[in-house]
Parts: sequence; C-alpha cells; structure tokens
Amino acid sequence: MLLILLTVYPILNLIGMSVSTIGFQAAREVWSFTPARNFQDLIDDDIFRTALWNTLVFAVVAVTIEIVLGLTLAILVASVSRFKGLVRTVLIVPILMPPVAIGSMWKLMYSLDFGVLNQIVTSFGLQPVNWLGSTLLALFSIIIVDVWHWTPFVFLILFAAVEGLPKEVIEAARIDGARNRELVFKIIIPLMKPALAVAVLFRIILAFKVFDEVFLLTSGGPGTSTEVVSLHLYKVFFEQNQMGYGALLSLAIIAATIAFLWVGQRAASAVGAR
Amino acid sequence: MFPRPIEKADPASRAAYQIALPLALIIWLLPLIGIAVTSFRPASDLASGNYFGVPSQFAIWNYVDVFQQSPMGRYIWNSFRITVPAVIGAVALSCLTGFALSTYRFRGNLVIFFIFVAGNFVPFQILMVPVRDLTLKLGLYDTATGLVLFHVAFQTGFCTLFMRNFIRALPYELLESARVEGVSEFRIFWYIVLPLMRPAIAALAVLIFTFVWNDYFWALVLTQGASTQPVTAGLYTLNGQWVSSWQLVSAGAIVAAMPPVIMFFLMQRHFIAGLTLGATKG
Repeated sequence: MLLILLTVYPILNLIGMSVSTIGFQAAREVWSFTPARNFQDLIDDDIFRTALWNTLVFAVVAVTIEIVLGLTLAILVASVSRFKGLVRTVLIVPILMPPVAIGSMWKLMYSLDFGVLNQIVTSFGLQPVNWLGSTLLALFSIIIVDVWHWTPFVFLILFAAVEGLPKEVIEAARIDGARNRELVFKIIIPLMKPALAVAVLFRIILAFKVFDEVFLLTSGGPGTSTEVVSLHLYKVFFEQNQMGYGALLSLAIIAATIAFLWVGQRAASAVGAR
Repeated sequence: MFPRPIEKADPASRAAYQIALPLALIIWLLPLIGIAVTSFRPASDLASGNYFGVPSQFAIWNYVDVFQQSPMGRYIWNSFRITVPAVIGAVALSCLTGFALSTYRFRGNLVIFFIFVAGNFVPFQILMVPVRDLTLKLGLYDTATGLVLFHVAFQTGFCTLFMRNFIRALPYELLESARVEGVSEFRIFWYIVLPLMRPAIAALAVLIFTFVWNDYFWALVLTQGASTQPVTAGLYTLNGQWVSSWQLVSAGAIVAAMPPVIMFFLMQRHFIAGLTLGATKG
C-alpha cells in the first residue's frame, strides 16, 4: 500500500503539474490550469526537437560503437594468455572515473590551442581542429568520450560471456573446419545473444539519460548542436523555472524513450526472425 | 578452443599482436596519462606554452595548492559522509529484502520484486522534480542526510535484484534443516545466510561505492554550497574558478578519482564479479 502510494503519488503529481502553470507569489506556489498553453509550448519548442534528434543520434551511434568495440576487445583479450589480468584492469579503469574528472580530462585533450589531439593534428601540418566548438564535430566529440567511458562496461559483460562459452561446441566447429570468421559470426555471436542483449539494453537506457558528459563538456553548445533531452529538461526546470511546462516535457521524454525502445525491439526481433 | 591462444598463431600475426596490444593500451590510457602529467606540471610551464612536453619540474605542490586554495578537504569529507552511509544503508536493506524475496513465498512477492526492478528503469527525468520538492518540504534540501536517503532509495532496487538472485542460488536445504531444528527465522538469516552472502556483500559494496561517489547529477540537484556538496559537484565549481589553471584542475580531478580507484584495486576481484553477476543474472 505504502509502495503504491510512493510510486503513484509522484506520477499523479507530475501529471497535475504538466497541465498547469506554476508561479510564485509571496513565497507560495500558485497553480493555474493551462493545459492548452503547455501543449502549445511543447509544439513550439524547437530546442526540444533538436534535443530529441541529438539524443537519438548519440544513443544509436555511441551504443553501436561500444558494442562492436566491446565485443572485439572481449574476444581479443580472451585469446591473450599472458598479462590477461593486467589488460583487463587497464581497460576497465575508465568506468571508475567520476564524470567530472572525465570532463576535465577530455577538455584538456580537446583543447583548441594546446590539446594533445591538436598537437598531433598540427604535427602532420594540418589545421587545428575545433573539437568541441564546431557545430559539426561537437556531438561526435562527445560520442568519443562516451565510448571511452562506457566501452569497458560492455567489455566486462561480454568478456565474462566469452570466457563462459561452451568449449565443446567451438572445438567441434573447429574440427569441422570452421574458419575464424565463421566461428565468430556463426557460432560465437549467436551464442552470446543473451549477454549482448543485456549490454545493449543497459547502454541504451543509460545513453538516453546522458547528462554529465554533455553538461560538463559543452552544456549543449555550440548553439544547440549538442543539446540532449535531459539537459534541455534540466535547463527548463532549474534555469528557466518553468515547472509546469518542464513536467509536461519530462512526460514527453518518457513517451519518446518508450516509443524508441518499442520500435527498437520490434526491429531487433524482425531481424532476429529472418 | 576459441579464442585460440595467441601462442599458436603464426609468427607474423604474433609479432603484430605484441606491438599492437601495448600501443592500444597506451592510447586507451592517453586521457589519464595526460591529466596525470599535467597535474605535476608547474604553472610556469603552462604559462610558457609547455603544455605537452616533459614538465620542467615535478610540481607535487600543485596538490598542496588544491587543498589550500579550495575547500577540497571539505568536499572529500562530504563525499565520504554521503557515500559510506549510503553504501551501508543500501547493502543492509537489500540483504533483508533479498532474503525475504528469495526465501519466503507470499502473495505479492513477485509484484514487490518487480517494483524494485522496475525502479531501475525509471528515467530520472520523472524523479528530478518530485524528489527536489520532497527534500524541500522535508527540510532535507542541501543536507547530507537528504542525499544519503535518496541514494539509498535509488540503489536499493538494483541491490535487491542482485541479492535476491544471489540468495536464490544458495542451497535451500541448509535453511530447511535449520528450520526443522527449530532455529528462529532471524537467527537463520544472521548465522546461516549472512555469512554465505559475504562475497555478494563485498561485490555490491564496491559497486555501489563507485556509483554513489561518482554521482554528479543528484549532487547538483539536491545540494548547493561547499558545506554539503560532495567532491564531484565541488570539482565542477572549482573548474569554473580555475579556468586556465590546468595544473590545478588536473590535480583536483585526480584527487576526486582516487577513492573509487583505490577501492577498485583493493577489491578488484569482487568488483568484476559484482558487475558481471549483477548484469548477466538479472
């Protein structure tokens, strides 16, 4: 009963807020019922549409790279016999870092004048690249940071799965003359489907919530080129103090997330059924 | 056996491997190496444009400066003040909930379990406003207690999932025979189940320590000012003040990252077990 109260009440409260305009008068909240205006705001909110698109691009690109890289690393590291522990430890280190530290780290890497990356670029005689300051590159640069931060997580899950693969099956396939590539694509990947599904699900959910990296590196800029939904919502609530509209926005974001997961699942099962 | 051990590959690909592997690891660690080197670079190097080369001096005093010029000590203390009780709270609660949900059959068992699990998937967007409202109303805004309570509440869902699955894998006959002997339920939990849960508790503790320590979002939403902010939020404020003092920013980042890294190296095996167990068994 208490549980229901604790979960249902905040949701009802949020729905109530989403159709209201909330102002402050004499240090008290004043609610007025303005559903039409809130929905109009949502329709007119160009930043939200940009943010939704950016989040989608971010989640799909980052998670795809992380899964491919994580799987490759898991299979490669499983075949190292010396220093396996050391290699694994080194690969894991990025997940331990606080996002704030990661932010400073990559700002240093990406710095226009003296960042390591631009030192390398200019040493080849090329123009320095404005990693975080250009509207074309900024989102891509953030994806790189996310890949660095989260591939270890994917790697760990998939590494455990590779180590746990049934040896007899692989041995049998090898005796039957399977080449390495066939082994990977026809046997190992199908056997690892459950682990891959877990990794994809966790990463997609987290990627949709992405906040820290974007907030710390670009705050959504330049312009709105790296604006993501959680950041936009944060700004609406805490910087513009639009509580009512913010509530509607958070419901819209949840609806979009569910819709995306649903479409993604349908697509995945369609591919799997073929 | 796949993957085939690298020793059995032909010499050319073995050599390629031996070169590629260390190289890849160094590139992987480049951001970390960069920040570590910068944290020991004297300010004069940065002023004269030596951003990239070997530091002219080994400036260990950057770390002293970080602690003297900012409330870094305070931030670190706040982080411990928040993280340690949150870890203890979440782990202790989830031992109990995990035990109850895994060993007793009662109506609503599955429903309660699913509520715990579903909590993990609730987007934080939906929680941000109600949680902040609630802390304001309870007078817990900008207090360590408030942050601890919410971290416990958020982490217990994941912990319960983890603990339930772990206890389920324990031999049930052990409990049965104790029950037949007439041992009380609480004593069964305390003297039989709890000792067997030690590896899971250790794994979970490391994991939750890292999660809570590294949390930045809730610290931002629920606190303000150096008196309660943990090191993640504090570091962000400091980065704003030290705009061009890269050596201080770097040293600060290293200091903030130290506790979870040390924790990891001390309990590495548990951490990996915890992460893979929690993720694959769900």
